[in-house]
Amino acid sequence: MARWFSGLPGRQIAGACAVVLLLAGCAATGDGAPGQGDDNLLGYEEPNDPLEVPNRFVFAINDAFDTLILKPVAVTYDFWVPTGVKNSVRNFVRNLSSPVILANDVFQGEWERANDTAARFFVNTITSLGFFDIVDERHPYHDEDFGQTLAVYGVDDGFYLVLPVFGPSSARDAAGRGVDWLLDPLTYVEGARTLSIAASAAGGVDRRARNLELIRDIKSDSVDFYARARSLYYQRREAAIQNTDGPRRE
Amino acid sequence: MRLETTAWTRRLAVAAFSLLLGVAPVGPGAAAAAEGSPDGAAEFIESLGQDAVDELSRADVPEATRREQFMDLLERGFALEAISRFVLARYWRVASAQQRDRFQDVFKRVLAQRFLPLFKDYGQEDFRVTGARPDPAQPSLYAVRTLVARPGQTGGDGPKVEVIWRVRPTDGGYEIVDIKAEGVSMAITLRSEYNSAIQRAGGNIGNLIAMLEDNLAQGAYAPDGNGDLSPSGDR
Repeated sequence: MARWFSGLPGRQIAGACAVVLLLAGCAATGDGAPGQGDDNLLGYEEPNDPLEVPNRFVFAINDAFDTLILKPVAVTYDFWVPTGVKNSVRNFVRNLSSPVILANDVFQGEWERANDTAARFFVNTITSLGFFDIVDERHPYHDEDFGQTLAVYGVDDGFYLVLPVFGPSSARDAAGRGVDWLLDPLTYVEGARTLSIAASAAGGVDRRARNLELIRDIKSDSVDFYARARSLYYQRREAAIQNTDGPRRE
Repeated sequence: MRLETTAWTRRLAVAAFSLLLGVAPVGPGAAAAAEGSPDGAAEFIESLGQDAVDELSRADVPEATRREQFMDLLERGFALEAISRFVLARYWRVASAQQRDRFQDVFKRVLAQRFLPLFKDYGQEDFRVTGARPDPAQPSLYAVRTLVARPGQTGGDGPKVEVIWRVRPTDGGYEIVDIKAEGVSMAITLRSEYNSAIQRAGGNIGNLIAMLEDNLAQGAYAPDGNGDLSPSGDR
């Protein structure tokens, strides 16, 4: 126990906890922007974005990073890497994140989804170290994170936050990211950090490559790309929280 | 940038396509008097969808005629003024009558450029109503669920996307106030985006209209990258 834990200095964990608590505190007390009259009737709230100026700045940097590095890499990857290999990249990255997804399934009391995640992790890891997804039909993949868990327990999103590299987020969801990092067994395995970072990077490139046309479409006809991305983030997040974003069970 | 942070990824592609619009603020008394039912709403969407497929998918009809038919369907099926009012929000109230007309005009042309090409090759089996119920978020509306083929994958067997049409009863009929695909409503998206754009232009609606006209001239709304003529279109 002491050995696998030793990969992570206590100070680092304490620091992460402090940040998480700080953000969660903000999230819990931040009041959502009240909609006006009719909007409330529709269950619609204007995004709360008090940090719009710095957010736009980070958004622009992320956009430049995307244009200069991420997108060219993704285009190259998309062109040269065979589909089977691309699928294995995605499977492997998803499998690595299974423990975190499982923990959040359980936190939310979603037993059927927890069963899906556990079965996927068990079978795919044993048969192929996660490079192949052989139970997708019976146990389809879904995403889950601590930001969603907080939302299920009624924590407000707080305010909109654009994270460097990671992109659109919120006070609650950024705090959730920190907790997910703490929930990830790999965080505590000595020497696994490189694997973890490499997998995240590969997953990012893979996702970007799978969405080349989509992102071009979303961007090309927008009159305010920042505002559009913010609105889409909130709506997709809401669908993810309600678990209506994935494949539906028949 | 990892725009695709979580799950709003591939499904959004479709959303971006399928999004039309509107959650209309239901004016006092406007819809209150009208009676409706989930079945009636479903029939309305069913019949409008069949008309759209019939009229807009025919290759032998000249482009200009298809365009006119599309505009007719828009006027017939959508609460365009209510949608415009919702999308512009507080800026609608300060807009002059002329600005309102100009916005609605450019808005319709945006929708035409975006959606008319998608009807190519669609058959009746590519648009199916699967159910209707009172809208969970707004009980005075009905949410009609449909399965729609992805563009380019028509013919019945291809993967379908769930599109939810939010309609409100009117005197003797129904009209569409919002379209949602995979959790994303274009009314809400556009409201957020347009309001931000107008605000950044110092509250000037003319500026938004000019930007929309620019996009139209560049064909930016055309699907499948057809409109990718602008230098910034493929960033």
